Amino acid sequence: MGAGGPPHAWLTAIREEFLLSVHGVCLSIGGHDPLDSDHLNRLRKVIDRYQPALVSEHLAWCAHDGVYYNDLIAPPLTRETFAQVRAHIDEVQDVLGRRILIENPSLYLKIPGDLSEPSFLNDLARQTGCGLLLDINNVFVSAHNLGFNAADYINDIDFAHVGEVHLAGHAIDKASGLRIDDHGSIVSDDVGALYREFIKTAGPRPTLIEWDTDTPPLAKLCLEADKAAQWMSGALDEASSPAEMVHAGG
Amino acid sequence: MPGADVKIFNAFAAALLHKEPPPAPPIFDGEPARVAAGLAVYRNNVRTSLSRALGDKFPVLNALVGEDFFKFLAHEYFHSFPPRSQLIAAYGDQLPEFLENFQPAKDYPYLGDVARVEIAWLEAYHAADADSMTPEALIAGAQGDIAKLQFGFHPSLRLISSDFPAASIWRKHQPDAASEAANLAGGENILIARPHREVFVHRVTPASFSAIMTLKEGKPLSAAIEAALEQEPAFDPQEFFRHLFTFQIITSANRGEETPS
Repeated sequence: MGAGGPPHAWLTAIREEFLLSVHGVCLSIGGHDPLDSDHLNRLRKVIDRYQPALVSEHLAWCAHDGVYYNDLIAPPLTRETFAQVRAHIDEVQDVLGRRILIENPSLYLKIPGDLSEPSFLNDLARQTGCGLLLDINNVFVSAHNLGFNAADYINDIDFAHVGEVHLAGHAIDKASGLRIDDHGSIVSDDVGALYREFIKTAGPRPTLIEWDTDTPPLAKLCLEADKAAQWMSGALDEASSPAEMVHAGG
Repeated sequence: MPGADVKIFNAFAAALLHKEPPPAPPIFDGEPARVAAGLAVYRNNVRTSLSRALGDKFPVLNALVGEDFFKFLAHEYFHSFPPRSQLIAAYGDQLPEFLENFQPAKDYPYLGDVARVEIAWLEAYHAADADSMTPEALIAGAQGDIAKLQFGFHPSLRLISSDFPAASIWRKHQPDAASEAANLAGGENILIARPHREVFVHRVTPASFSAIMTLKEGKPLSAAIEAALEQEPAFDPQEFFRHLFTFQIITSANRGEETPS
């Protein structure tokens, strides 16, 4: 988000070889404060300059009363906050002049509110034209921490809106037993199983491995990407084969 | 009820800002121990990520004071100056002043200026790109009379005058630093810029520093030379002029009455 320097030089070089997915972490779309127009304009400049294939943000807040917390916190799922988030997404899509994807957050605490997260996200997509970014690790982490069923949550998402998937590793806090979305290890098999089920029904989706704590050597990160690619092709094969063929073959 | 949700945001934000772990706010459902454990994850995420951001911005300071003291400093700083900008690169901009008034660091008065060097380094790194001017291009355009010229400077240029050897301390903690002990004494005048990809941290003489400061204020070269001669009667303008171009920080030159090119 700086004006110049090596980060822009690198991103320019990368853009020449690859499609980009720009992932925002601090617009505070789920927040009570108005959006920070300076920050939104900085984002617009990045989008205008690099023309990424995908742009995403979170159903979360990170700023309140002018203080910026550098963390992604789920908002209360109420009609009141829905109207606010919908207006924020409209504003972002308006300024950027394009569709964005909204990602489900990870939760460590039940936030007061009477709406379900999948229906909140589906309704946002329907009413604003935004897409969804399904973070399957976040679903798994929240389901464990709040005591709901992760597969049911994913099935409640309208797959037609999902434009990207995130996978990541998480940690377990020994004292509390909470699962922590720390992006600091390999993707767990539980998350992989949910991913395969999703792909089997939804079809292929651009998928990103998030690993930004204790970042491993590139080779190890590439192994995780290969693993996800195998999960995807395995799920697609299963989806295209009649059930008895799979049975006969296995 | 419209406006009811703000109470939830307020309670959550207050729990994040609270210096010690607070009791579970009644607005959250569930067993108090369970709510406290959940809040503790968010409180830890905030403190850890911001402490890491400060560590990334101030690696030399971190090395000078050690990991434990730095974490303590980051914690205290967060409670005095929580981030007010969504640009994480701007977090820590009040750290020099904070350090200078921080009792536990009172025996290390140079830390504030080392932090200023690190802030300037990061600002230079992210500053807008610009092409610097060659002395040949300047002389060709000046038509012989360079004393009246005013200069435009590279957006990355930062100038710091320190009562301490802040640049030498910074240099000593770089990965490529020479291993022999540097002579760390006295004040330093520091010029930081990134004309291309790499950020440079230079020390300049007090007279050169005055001259560059004067030029940066928009005054002509003649005024800059006067300012330098006041500082140092033996100041050599030609030597200075040659030296100035080795920094590659000049992007334009024009006479007072013209608009900058």
